[in-house]
Amino acid sequence: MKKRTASLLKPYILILPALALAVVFAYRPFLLTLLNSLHTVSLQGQRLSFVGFENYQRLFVSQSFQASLSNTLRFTLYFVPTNLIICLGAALLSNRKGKLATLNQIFFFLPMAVGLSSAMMILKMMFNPSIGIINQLFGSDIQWFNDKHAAMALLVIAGVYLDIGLNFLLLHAALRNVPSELHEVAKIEGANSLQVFRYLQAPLIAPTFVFVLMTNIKDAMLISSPVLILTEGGPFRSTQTLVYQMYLEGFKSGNYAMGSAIATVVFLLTLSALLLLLHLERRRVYYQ
Amino acid sequence: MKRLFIYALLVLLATQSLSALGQEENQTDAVTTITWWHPNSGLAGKAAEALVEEFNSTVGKEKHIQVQAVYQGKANDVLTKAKAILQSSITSDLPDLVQLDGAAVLDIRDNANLIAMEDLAKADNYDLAQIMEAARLSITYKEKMIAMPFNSSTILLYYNKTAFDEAGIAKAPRTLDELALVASKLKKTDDKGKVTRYGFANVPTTYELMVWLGQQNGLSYLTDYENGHTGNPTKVLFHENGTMVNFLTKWRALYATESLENLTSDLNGAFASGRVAMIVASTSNLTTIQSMVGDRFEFAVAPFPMVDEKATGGVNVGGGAIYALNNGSGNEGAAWEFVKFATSAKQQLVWHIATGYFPVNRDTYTLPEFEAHLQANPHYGVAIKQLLDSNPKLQGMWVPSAYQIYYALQSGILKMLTENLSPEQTSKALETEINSYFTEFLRMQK
Repeated sequence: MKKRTASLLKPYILILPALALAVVFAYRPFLLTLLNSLHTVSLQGQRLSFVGFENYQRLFVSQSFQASLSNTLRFTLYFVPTNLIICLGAALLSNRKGKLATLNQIFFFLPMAVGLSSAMMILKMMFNPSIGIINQLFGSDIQWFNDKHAAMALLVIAGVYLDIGLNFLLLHAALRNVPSELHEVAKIEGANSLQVFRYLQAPLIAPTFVFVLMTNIKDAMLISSPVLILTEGGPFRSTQTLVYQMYLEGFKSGNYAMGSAIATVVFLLTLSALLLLLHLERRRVYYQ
Repeated sequence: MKRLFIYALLVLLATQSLSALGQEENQTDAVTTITWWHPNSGLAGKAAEALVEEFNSTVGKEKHIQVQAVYQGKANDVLTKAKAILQSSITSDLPDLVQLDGAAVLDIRDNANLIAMEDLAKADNYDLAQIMEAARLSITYKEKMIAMPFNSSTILLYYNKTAFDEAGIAKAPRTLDELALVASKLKKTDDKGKVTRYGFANVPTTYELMVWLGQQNGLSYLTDYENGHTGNPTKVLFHENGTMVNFLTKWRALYATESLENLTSDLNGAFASGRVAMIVASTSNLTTIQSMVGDRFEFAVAPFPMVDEKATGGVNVGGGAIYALNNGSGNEGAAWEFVKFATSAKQQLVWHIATGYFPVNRDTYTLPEFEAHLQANPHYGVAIKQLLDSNPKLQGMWVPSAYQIYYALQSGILKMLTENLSPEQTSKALETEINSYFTEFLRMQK
């Protein structure tokens, strides 16, 4: 009997430290944010009075917020497929044997080793329209920071760069896990590489793929650092994302109530996207 | 076991060096050490270092004060760091002096740890009249000078003199009408009709609008409470008094010439590469632009163009100031000594020559070295003359949600140009949006 309670309690005791950290650094701040978004909050961060959903009402009629919302959704729409195709392509490319393959792997993995803000500073220099190397190299005259479409494209490029290291690593590992016997059998049967991918590799890496897809959507919804450093939301708010606006309201203007309201909106949006995906996943993806 | 030993050694070493530091502090106990957080990098950074060195080896040595200058990143970063400490309860970590720009005023002006510079000056019987009035007012809140203007700048028109000569234009435009005319002459297109050179590139920033609207009707403010200098602004005035409509009408005419490019960033680069013939930029960019242009073409500066002939009032003082903070060390007297030194006539001349920021001390302007410097570098004279001719009451805007307002103005004006809206509509829409930010802010007050 005693032994049974002990074994019953064990997992809870083991999870306690992690839970404590989560409460302090994730759950409590989240609840406070939720609470702040329903109040007016002073510059010093004190809740002044309860206003219900008034902050949200103000938010949804503001042009600035509408721009942020549409920019974030547009960014997600461009970023997620681009990133998935590139990362998957990279993983497939380096999933070969031979010495050069290792070089490939290092090449794709390298972005992870570069500091985020320094990478963005470097990109900013490279894409500078008048003195940057990109325009020089391609002989183009693209106003990367002054043209709405170019700025959005630049953001996607920066986003892909930031994500490629980890995504590549995950997909690459998943491809490596595809049993080589199955590969050989498929080859003997005369399948070409497209067929191998379609009927063998794709189903087997599906769980990892879904994970990468989900983190990609999350990353896209929370995109902020390239906006902060590269475009600063410009030109004309065309790259102002939700999290950047949250930063502006909460940190630049000291408007914690509005910042919290935006944070809540971002959370709900991301959550619903992920729930929808989980629902689809249950029907489409099979785990071994 | 081996690892444990290494850890123990590391801890031992770490504590050793700490106690060594402590000893050093004890030895120099008689000297008061002042920390100054600043955002000066590049040329200005070198100048700031030289200034501190000069102080430490002269006045500081005499009075047993040593200043320690700490570079804390860009102006924004300095503010973020100072704000973080001001909001926490551990104010002993605050620097004695911190150099911030205009955007910081709102965050710091009501803080209990701010020591108003005017009080320090009064305690020392220092005559504040030696500081230029426009600079002094630029940091005056509710009739008290809360900080000392230090790196003061103003705005200028930069133009490509070589392109002007080619197009046969003799002098720089003085009004927006003239600017439109000149810009259309400067515009160049290639065979396919693609513009290779724009006459003028600009999307009005808050600062520029402050000047363009403020200089109308003798003196106008964008918001009530004198642009926020006498209290929290509650509404904008530019729609009621018609200054915005007047400006937007001129701006639309300028855009209609198709020689205006709506550039929001990298203006210096566009100008230096010759793609744009005129820009407006701060005097503090003078040295940078000079080095970027090199000998590619000849450039010159002229006073900031006015909205129309009737607009007077000139330009205002931008840039930054030094704030004194109370960190419980009781060092404010020593901190004041350094501020006094840094803004003395002689040091302001040195600072001006090294950085391009104009001297805030009136006595600097009568120094023979200053006149000699102006003769050798006439570019600097334009800004100074322009500023001396301006109405000192024309002052920068202290508003909440400054970034949101900046983007609102940008986007609103672009919308008018590209969707062909009327200036009245645009001005009204801007009034509504900006007023809503003020309402937000007032709701946050206790």
